[in-house]
Amino acid sequence: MKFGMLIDLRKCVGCFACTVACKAEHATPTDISYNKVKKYEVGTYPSVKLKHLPMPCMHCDNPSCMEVCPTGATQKQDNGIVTVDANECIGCKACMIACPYESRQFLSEIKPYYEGQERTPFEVYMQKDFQVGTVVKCDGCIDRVREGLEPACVQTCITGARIFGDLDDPNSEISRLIASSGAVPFQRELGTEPSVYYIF
Amino acid sequence: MSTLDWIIFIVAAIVFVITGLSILYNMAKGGHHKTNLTDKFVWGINTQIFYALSSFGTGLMVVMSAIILLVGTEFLYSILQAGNSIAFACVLSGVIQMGIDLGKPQRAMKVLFGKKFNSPLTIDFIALTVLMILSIIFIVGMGSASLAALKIWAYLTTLISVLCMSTHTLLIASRFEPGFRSNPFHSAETFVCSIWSGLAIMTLLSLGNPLTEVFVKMLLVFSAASLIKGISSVIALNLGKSEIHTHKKAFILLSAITFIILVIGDLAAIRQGGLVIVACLLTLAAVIVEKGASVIVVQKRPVIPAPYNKFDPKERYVPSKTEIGYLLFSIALIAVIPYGVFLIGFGA
Amino acid sequence: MSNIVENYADLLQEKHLTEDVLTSPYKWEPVDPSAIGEKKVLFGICRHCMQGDCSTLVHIEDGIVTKVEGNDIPPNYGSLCPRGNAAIMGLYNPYRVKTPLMRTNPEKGLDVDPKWKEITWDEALDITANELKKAFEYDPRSIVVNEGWGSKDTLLRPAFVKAFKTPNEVGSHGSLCAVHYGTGLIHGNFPVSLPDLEYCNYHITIGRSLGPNFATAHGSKRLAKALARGMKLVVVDPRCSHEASKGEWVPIRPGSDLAFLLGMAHVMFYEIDKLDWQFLKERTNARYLIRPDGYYARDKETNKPLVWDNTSQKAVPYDTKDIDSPLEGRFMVDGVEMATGYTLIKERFKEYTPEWAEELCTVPASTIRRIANEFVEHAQIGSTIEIDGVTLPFRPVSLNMERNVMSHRYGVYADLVGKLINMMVGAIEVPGACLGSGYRGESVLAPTEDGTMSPGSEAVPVPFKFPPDHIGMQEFFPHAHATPHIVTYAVENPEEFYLDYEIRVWLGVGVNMIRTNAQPERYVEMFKKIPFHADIVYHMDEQAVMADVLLPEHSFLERLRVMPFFPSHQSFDDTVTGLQMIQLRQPVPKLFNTMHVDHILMELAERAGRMYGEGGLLDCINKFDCHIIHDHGMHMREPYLLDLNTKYTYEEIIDRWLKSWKFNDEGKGFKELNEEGAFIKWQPKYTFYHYYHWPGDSTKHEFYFINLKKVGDSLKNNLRKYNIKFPMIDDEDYIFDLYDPVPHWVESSEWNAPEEYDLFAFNWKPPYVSSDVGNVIGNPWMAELYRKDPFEGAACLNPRTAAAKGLKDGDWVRISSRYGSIECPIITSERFHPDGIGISGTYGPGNVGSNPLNTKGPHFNRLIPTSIDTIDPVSASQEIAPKVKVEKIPKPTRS
Repeated sequence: MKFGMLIDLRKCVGCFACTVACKAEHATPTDISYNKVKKYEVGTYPSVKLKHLPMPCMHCDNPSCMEVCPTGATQKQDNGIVTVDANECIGCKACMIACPYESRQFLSEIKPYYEGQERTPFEVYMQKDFQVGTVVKCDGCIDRVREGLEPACVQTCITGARIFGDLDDPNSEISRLIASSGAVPFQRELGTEPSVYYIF
Repeated sequence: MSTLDWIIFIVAAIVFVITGLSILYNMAKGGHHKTNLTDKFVWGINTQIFYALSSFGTGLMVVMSAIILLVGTEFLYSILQAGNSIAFACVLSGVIQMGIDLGKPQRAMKVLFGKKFNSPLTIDFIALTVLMILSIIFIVGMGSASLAALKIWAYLTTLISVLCMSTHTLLIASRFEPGFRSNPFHSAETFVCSIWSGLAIMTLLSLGNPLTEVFVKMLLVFSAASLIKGISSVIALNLGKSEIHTHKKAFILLSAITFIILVIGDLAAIRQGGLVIVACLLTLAAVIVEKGASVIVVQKRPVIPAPYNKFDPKERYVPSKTEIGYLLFSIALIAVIPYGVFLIGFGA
Repeated sequence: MSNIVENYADLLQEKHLTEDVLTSPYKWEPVDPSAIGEKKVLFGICRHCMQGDCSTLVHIEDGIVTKVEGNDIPPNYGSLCPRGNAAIMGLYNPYRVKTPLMRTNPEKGLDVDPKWKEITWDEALDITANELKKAFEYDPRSIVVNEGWGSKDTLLRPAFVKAFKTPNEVGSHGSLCAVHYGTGLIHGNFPVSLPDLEYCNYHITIGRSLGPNFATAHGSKRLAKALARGMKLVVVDPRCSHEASKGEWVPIRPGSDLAFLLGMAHVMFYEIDKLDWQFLKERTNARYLIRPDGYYARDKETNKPLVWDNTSQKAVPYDTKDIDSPLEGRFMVDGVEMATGYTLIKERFKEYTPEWAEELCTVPASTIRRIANEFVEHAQIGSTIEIDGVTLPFRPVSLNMERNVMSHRYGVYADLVGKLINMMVGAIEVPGACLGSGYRGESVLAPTEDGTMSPGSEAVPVPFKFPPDHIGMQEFFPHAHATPHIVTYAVENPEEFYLDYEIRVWLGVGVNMIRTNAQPERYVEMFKKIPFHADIVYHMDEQAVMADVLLPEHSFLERLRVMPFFPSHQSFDDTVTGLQMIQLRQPVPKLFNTMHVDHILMELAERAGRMYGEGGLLDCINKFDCHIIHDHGMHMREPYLLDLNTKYTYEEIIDRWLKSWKFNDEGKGFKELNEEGAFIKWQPKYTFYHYYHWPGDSTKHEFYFINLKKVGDSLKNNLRKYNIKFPMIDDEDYIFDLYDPVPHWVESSEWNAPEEYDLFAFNWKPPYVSSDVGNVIGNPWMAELYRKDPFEGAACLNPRTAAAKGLKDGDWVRISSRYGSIECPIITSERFHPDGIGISGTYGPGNVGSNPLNTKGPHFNRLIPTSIDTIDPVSASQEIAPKVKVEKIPKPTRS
C-alpha cells in the first residue's frame, strides 16, 4: 500500500471543505491547517477565471524535509506517508525552509478557537498530542488509512475532486486515472517526487 | 589587573547575567511567539546574527591556525589568546542565538543522537561543538604547549572551521530555487567573508604590533575577493533572473568602500590608526549585512510561485523586542568572555 | 412600548444578573463521568445552510462530540461542505444563550445592555404563555410569530401559529429572496425551478447558486458530474464567481438582468425559426384569443376560452378537435379585433432588440444572439427520451434564475420572461429541462376548466380583506413571499395601513430580521414599540438583544429532528430524482439549560390553553399540510390521528406521523427509524417529470399571464370598493404597471438615481458562510478561513473603475446608497464588472453581548431600501442592487 492522492482541479470549486474536515479530524490548533487551498485568478476582464489549488502535504518519495531533519523526527512510513514524531522534534524549522510546498507549520502556541475564551471541551480532549514548539504537518490521516478509510479531506470533497488509493497497485482506480489523464505532481521539476497528483 | 578591571568585569558580568536570564525567563514564560517569526519567516535576526558571529568565529580560528602554522607562537601569545577567546565567545553567542529559535531547546541533545548525518544542522551542531571544545583547549592548555601540539591543534581547527562555513550554506540551499548562489555547496562568499571578518578582528586586536601590517595587507586582498565575489554573485542572480536585494547591494557597497580605504591607506603607507580601524569595522558590518541577504531576504521570496501565490498575505518581518534583547545579550557575552579570560590570565 | 421590566419588577428583584462571557471567559462544565469510555455514532442531519438536508454521522467519544462527517446515503452520499464539517464549533460555542433570560433594562437598542437576569424555564414559559393568552383574548391577530432560517428544524411551528389563529407568521428571509411566483404559476410548485442536470446539455444560470457558489454538498456534486459529462454552462453575473469559472462567464451590469432576458426572448421570437411550436400550441395558452380588455375571449355557451380556427374561419373553444389553430395573428370575433396571447407578447417584445438590451445591460448584442441560438439548438426540439420504458419529450436545456435577478422592482417580470424563454423550447417539466422543486405528484399540473393548470403556492393570491388581517399587508401584496419590511411601516403608521388592531406579542423563532433584512434602524425602532417580545434563540444576536424574554433553544446537533426530504434546492439528477426519504437526527446530550424548540412551542401552547380541543395545537397538527410537499411530508391520517385531549410526548407525535407517512407501507415508526437511520424509498423516475402525469394537450401552462392580470384587477377593484388608496403610494400606476399579463421593461428604483451615485452595489453569499444559518460567521473554524480571504470584508472593484476613482487595493472607502452607508477596504480584481462594486457575505451591524466575530465586516444590507416605492409590488421583493457613491476615507486606526 503506497499512499497516493489525485486531485482533479477541473472539479475543485474552492469550497474549503477539505480544509475544515481536516481541522475537525485532527483538531489542529488555531491558525494551523494541514491543508491549504491557494486561490488565484488568470486572465483579464472579461476573459478571466477564478481558480483554486488545494494542497495537502505531498508525502514525497524524496522528501527534502526528511533530509534536513537533524533528529530524525521526520520519517517516511512503509505506506508512503511522511510523518513527524512530536516527541523527537526539536523545532529547529529546517524542514520548513526545505519544503517547497509550504506544507509545514510551526506550533508556537495553542490558542483557544474562540478568541478570548477558554478552550472548549473538544479542544481539551482532542489536542492532547500537540506539543508547543514542534513543527506539524499533514499526516495523511494515517490512523484512518490504517483502518482502511479514506483521508478526511478525500471523503468530504463536495465535487468528488479528490481520489485516494494505492499507487503501488497498477489496477487501482487512482493508478488508472493518473495514466489516462496524464496527471502530474505540482512543481515536479523540483524533484521531490510527490505522491499527490493533479489534473490541471 | 587593577581593581578597576575587576570592577568593570563584575559589573559587566552581572548586567549580562541579569539581562540574559530575564530574557530567558521571558521566552520560557511567553512561549516562542515572543519572536516575530511566522511560518513565512522561520529564521530572523537570530539566524542572521548566528551566521555573522560564527563567520567571525570560524574566520578567526582559521586565521589563528594560519598564524600558528606560519610563525608559531613567537607571535605574541596574548593576541592569539584574545582572538581565540573572542572566537569562542562569538561561536557561543551564535549558538545561543540559534538555540532560542528552537521550539524545544531542552531537546537539543537529540541532534547528536539522531544519527542524521545527512542533515546540515547535525553536521553544523557537531562541528560547532568540536570547535568550541578546541577553543576551550586553547584557552586552558595551549599556553605551555609544544609547537607540535599547536600544529595539530591548528590542523584540526582549520578543518572544522571550514566545515562549519560550508554547512551554513547547506542550511539555506536546502530550499530549491535557481540563482541563489552560483554554487550551492560551499559558496565562496561564505568562505571569503569568514576569513575576511576574522582578519578584521585580528587586525583590531593587533594594533600597535609590527605584524599588523601583514594583517592589513591580507585584509586588502580579501576585501578585493569579497567585492569580486559579490559582483559575480550579482551576475549569477541576473542570469537566474532573481531579484538583487538591498542587503546584497549594501554588501557590495561596503566591500567597495573598504577596499578603496585600504588601497588609499596602502598607497599612503598608513599602517595604523583611524583608517585601518574604520576599514575593519566596515568589514564586520559588511559580513553582518551579507548574512541578512542569505537569511531574511531569501525567506521573503514566495515558495509557491505565481500565479498561485496571488492572494497570499504580504508579510513583513520586524524583529521583536525579545529578539533585540537577545542580540544585546550576545554582544555582552562577546565582551565579557574574552575580558574574563584576560583577567583570569590563562597561560602566559 | 414594552412594560416588561415594570410588570415583572418583583420577580426580577430576586434574580441575579447573567454572566458576561465577553468580560469573563466561560468556564466549561466537566464532562458527565458516566459518559467516559463510551463511543457512539449517531445519525445526523446537517443544518448549516438553507437546505439543511445533508445526511451526517456524529461521533461521540467519552462524552465529547469529536467528529461530524457525511453519511454515505442520499442526498449527499458521504460528502459534506465546509460548514457541515465545522458544526462542532456551533455546539461548543461559549457565546450561546445558555439559560432563559429576562431583561431588566427598560431601554432598548443594539448597543444598549439589556442587563439580563436569569429566570427559570417555568417562569419564562409562564410569562410568555400568559402574554400569548392575553393577546389571544384581545385579538388573535395581535400575535406575530416571526420565523427565519433558524426555525427550519421545527416540526410544529406552522401548527402552533394556526392554533393561535393568527394570520401573522412573519418570515424574515423572504423579501430579499422573493423568487417563487414564476414557479408557482408555471410549475405549480415551491420554492424554485431547477435544472435537471442528469440530462441537461446547456444551462444558463443567473443570479443564483447551482452549488459551488454556496458550497453546498450535493448541488456541487451534481454540477461536477454534469460538467464532466460535457454540459455547457453559461453564467450571467456581474462577478466571475466560482461557478462562472467552470463555464462561460457573461459579465452583466448589476440590476439589469431583465434587459438581457428581454433581449434574448426577442431573438427567439424574431430571429429563430425553430421554436417548440407543438409545445406552444398544445401546452400553453399562447393561442387563446385575448379581448381588448386583456381577458380571454370566451365561448358564449361553454364559457371556455376561444382560439381561432383557420379551417372554419371562426373562433372556437380551445379544446375543439381537428382544427388548424394558429399561434400568431389578429382576428375579428363578433366585430371586435382580438389577438392571440402569443401575438400580444411578441409585439410587445419587438422593441427589445439585443442592441437595445446591450445599452442597458452591457452584454454585447452578438453574445445575446449567440446564447439564444445556442439555447434553442441544444434544446433538441422534437426529440424524445425513454426512461424505464416510458417515452417523454427530451429538452436538455434550462434557464434558471433566483434572487439577484428577481430582487428588483421588475422581479416577477424577469421571472416570467425566463419562463417564456424556457417555454419557447418546451423545456418545462420534461427530462433535461426546467422542473419545479417541491412536490412531485399528479395533482400539480392538473388543469382547470380553462385548460390551463391552476397556479400553485405563491401564485395563489391571499384573499383581500378590509380592514386587513395581516400585519405584513398580504392583502395588498397577495403574491408576496414575506413582507417583514412592510411590517415595519405598518407598525409605524397604523392608520395609513388601515390597521384596526395593534401588535401585542412578538414571538421570534430562530430569526434575526435586524441583520438579515435592510435598514436595520427601522427594525430597531419597531421593536421598541412592541409591548412584549420573546425570542427563541441560539445566540445573542441583534434581534435577541431587543427582546424582553429569551427562550434559549438547542444548537442543531442537540436537536432531535425527523424530517422528510424536500426535493432539492439547486438542481436534480439521478441521485435525488424520485427520492422520497425520511431523515433522522439523533441528538447529542445537551450542554446548557436549553430546550428543544418544539418542546418550547408545546409548553407555550399548553400553558396558554391552546393545546387541547378543537382548533388547538393537537388539532392543527392533525390537519397540518406542508405547503411545499403536502402529503409527502407530515400528514397525519387514521388510525394515527392525535386525540385532541391527550398529552403526547414529542416522540409520540413523530411516531404517529411516521406511521402515517405516505410511503411507509411497513408501518415502521420512530423505533425503526432510530435503528435504520433513514427511510429511503424511490418512486419511478418517470413520475418525477410532471409531463408524465399530464401529457400532450391535457394541461397547459400560462404563456399569456392572465392570472397576474386577474389578481391585479381584483386588487384595484377592491381599492375602489373600499374607497382606499394603496398604502404609502400616491400614484397607483406604480403598483399596477407590474400586474400586466405581458411582461415588459420596467425601470428599477435605482435606474434614475442622481448622477453622483454612479456604481451598482451587489452582493453574493460566499462559500464559507452561505446564508449564515446557525451563526456560521461566528464559527471560529470558518472565521479562520474567511478572515484570510482578501475578498471577504472588502468591496470588490474592477481595476479600471478603481483607477478612475483614484483608489488602490487596501484603501478604505465609504459606500453610500440613498438609504444607508457602510465602510470597508477595497480590493481590485479583473473578475468584476466595471459598473459594479461587490460586497460579499452576511456581515451585520453587531450588538452588545455578541460573539465579537459577529460585529465585524461591512453590512451590505444597510444599502438596501425597504420602502414600498422601491419594491416589486407583486412579490414585495426588495431592491438588491442599489446605486451607490464611493468616497475614500482615512484608514481607521486599529482598536
